[in-house]
Parts: sequence; C-alpha cells; structure tokens
Amino acid sequence: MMTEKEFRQRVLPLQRLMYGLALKMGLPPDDAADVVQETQIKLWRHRVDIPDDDGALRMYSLSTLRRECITMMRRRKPEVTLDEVAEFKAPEERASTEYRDTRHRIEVLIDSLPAGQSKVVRLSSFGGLDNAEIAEATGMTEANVRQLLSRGRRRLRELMNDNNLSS
Amino acid sequence: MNEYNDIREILNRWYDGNTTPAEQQRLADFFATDRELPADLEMEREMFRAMAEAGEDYAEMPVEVSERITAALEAEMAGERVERRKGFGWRRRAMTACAAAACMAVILTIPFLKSSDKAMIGDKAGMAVSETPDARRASTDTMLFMTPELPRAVAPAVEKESRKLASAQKKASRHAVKCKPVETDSDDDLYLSEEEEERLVAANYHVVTDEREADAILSTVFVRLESGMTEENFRISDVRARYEMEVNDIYDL
Repeated sequence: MMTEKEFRQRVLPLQRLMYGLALKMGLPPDDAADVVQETQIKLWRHRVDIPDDDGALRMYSLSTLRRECITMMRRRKPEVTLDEVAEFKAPEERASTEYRDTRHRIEVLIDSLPAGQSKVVRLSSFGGLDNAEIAEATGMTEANVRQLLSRGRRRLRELMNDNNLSS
Repeated sequence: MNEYNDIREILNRWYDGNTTPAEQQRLADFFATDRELPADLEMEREMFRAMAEAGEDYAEMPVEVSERITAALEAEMAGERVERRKGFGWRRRAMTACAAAACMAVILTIPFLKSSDKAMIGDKAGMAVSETPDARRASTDTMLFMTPELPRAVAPAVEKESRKLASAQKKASRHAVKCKPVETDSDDDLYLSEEEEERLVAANYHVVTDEREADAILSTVFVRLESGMTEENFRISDVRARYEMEVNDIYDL
C-alpha cells in the first residue's frame, strides 16, 4: 500500500498533467479543476491499486481522469450548451483567456469547427476516448459521433491546407 | 510497401470517424518519424504532428487552483488519519448508518406508539390500583379516561369495566382491572383500522377513580411520548452533526 509520503511524491505532481488533459478534452477551467480534485481524491482512496511503475501510474491516473471527465460532461450536459463548451465560456474568464492564449494553432482550428464537431474531435484526439466513450460523455449516439468525427476531421484537413497556403 | 498501405487504410477509416484509440496512436507514432514518406502521406504528416504536439503540451495550472486541489486532498488525508485514530472508517460509517436506521425505526413506530400506549394505560392502571390499596377510600373525584371519539357501541364495555371495578373494590382486590394482551391481526399490518382501534380501546378501558392513578397514567403517557421524541431529536441532530463533519472534512471549510 502506498504511504502518504509516496502519494505526495508520486501522485500530487500529476495534477498539472491531469488539468491540462481535462482542458484539452474541452472542459471549462472550473470543471477541469473539479475533475482533477475528484480524480486525486479517488486515487488516494484507491491507493492500494496504484501501480509501482511510474509509466503505469501515469496511464492509470489519466484513465481515471478520463472516466471522471466523462462523468462530469454527462452531469453538465443539461447546463452547458455545446457552444459554451467549445468557446470556453466559463465563469472563470481569466483562466479561460489564459488558456486561450496558450492554445496551439491546431486547437484554434479545432475550435473554429462547428461546436459538435470540435467537441468530438477534442475528446478523440486529445482525450483518447473511443467512440462509445464519446457517445457516453456527450449523450449522442455512436453513429452520430462517427459522423461528426468524420466531418470534423475532413474539415480540419481543409483548414490546415488553407492555412498553409495563406501563410 | 505494405506498411504504407496499412497506414492508408487506417487513415481512410480515421477520416470516416471509425478508428480505435490504439489505431489513432499507431497513426501518431507513424507520423512522428522523420523519414521521407510518399507524397500523399507527407501531406497528412503535418496535421498529425500538430495534434500530437498540442496534446502533449499542457496548459499551466493557476496557483489558486492547485492550492485548492491540494487543500481538498490534505483534508481527505487528515480525515483518514482521524478515522484511523478513532477506529476504522467503516465502523464510523456503520454507526452513522445505524443511527439513520434507528431514526427510521422511531418514525415507523410512531403509529404503534399510540396504540401500545393505550394498551399500557391498562397495565399501568392495574399497577396504580395495586400500588394504592387505599384507592377504595380515595376521593370522590372520578375521572373518566377515554378518547373523545369513543363510539357509543363501546359504552356497554365501559359499564362492564366500571362494574368490574366496583365489584373488585368491594372484594378489596388489589387487581381491580385485568388487561388483555393486545391482539393485532398480522405483523405486516402497520396501521390499525378504525374498527380495530375501537376494539383495542374497549378492551383496555376502565374508569379511573383515583387522582393519583390518573396522574400516574398521564405522566406515563407523557414520559413515553417525550422520550420517544427526544430520542429521535438526538438521533437526527447526531446524524446531522456527523454529516456536517464529513462535509467540512471534504471541503476543508
């Protein structure tokens, strides 16, 4: 069993990684922070299962985080519209803009897609979720997810080409 | 080359939204290499690299967010240390569950309390009479202890009981009133019908002639009601306090 000291040394530093992934998956900063907190507490409670190997620990932590993200998105579904998620219109505007400024060019392109498309592309490309998990998180059918992914990726390809030509 | 065809095939499915995370990883790994690629694949390389880069580079976490998360975790750890000192976590949880169950039990018993008190009135009355042998000589005050809605049909029973009491007094018997045990039809029938209630009242009905007996009966009723209520209140406040403690622990309030 992992001791408190070990937990502090090995799991606590993963906070930043987790927070980043939650943001990449399209969660507003407030929710991303909540998800990281939930995940860390969950890991602490189940510290019996934490792998000794650091790589395995990372995988284990991030897959726990992904589950928490899906749960959070399902819970949030009625409150936050697709546009809000895509646009990062979170109450914490400051953190929001901070994150907006550090986005990569491809993220800017992804966010320019229609809300549904950008949401599924984020969950797939950054979250590493499979179609069934995306369907669970968004409340869409798997067929719907597949269609949005297809359109989003094709559109992204076009945007990349246009972007290169213009720059 | 075979590998390129594999990649092309996966790539087609990727554009159809039909790949597994493992296949996506394979694409990412493939495009991460620096070797020269056929022209069609070269075109795809840029997007996959950009995706991989964006996915690896994590946003900075605001200090206050990090502090908040760490504080919540510290509270959780501290909570467990406290629990370990107190005993096991499960024991505490079990106690809370028991308290909640007891609460429910009290609530469910309230309908019974009423009827069993009526039954007890008879018992206590008997005791009161027996404990006060001078009841016969006692005051002329006669107190009729009855429920206001007592139907007329019960009246003969009342007379019978009072006659019984009178004859018992003549015989100077210490047990003026005998109470029949309460009979309920079945255990799962929680609520008594009006008819059953009437029968119950009639069976345990008697005229109280002694002031002290009346006092005893009334105080018994009130003590029982009160203890039931205070016990329930204690349990509710206990559960509430525990709940608050847990919440404070978790959110470090």
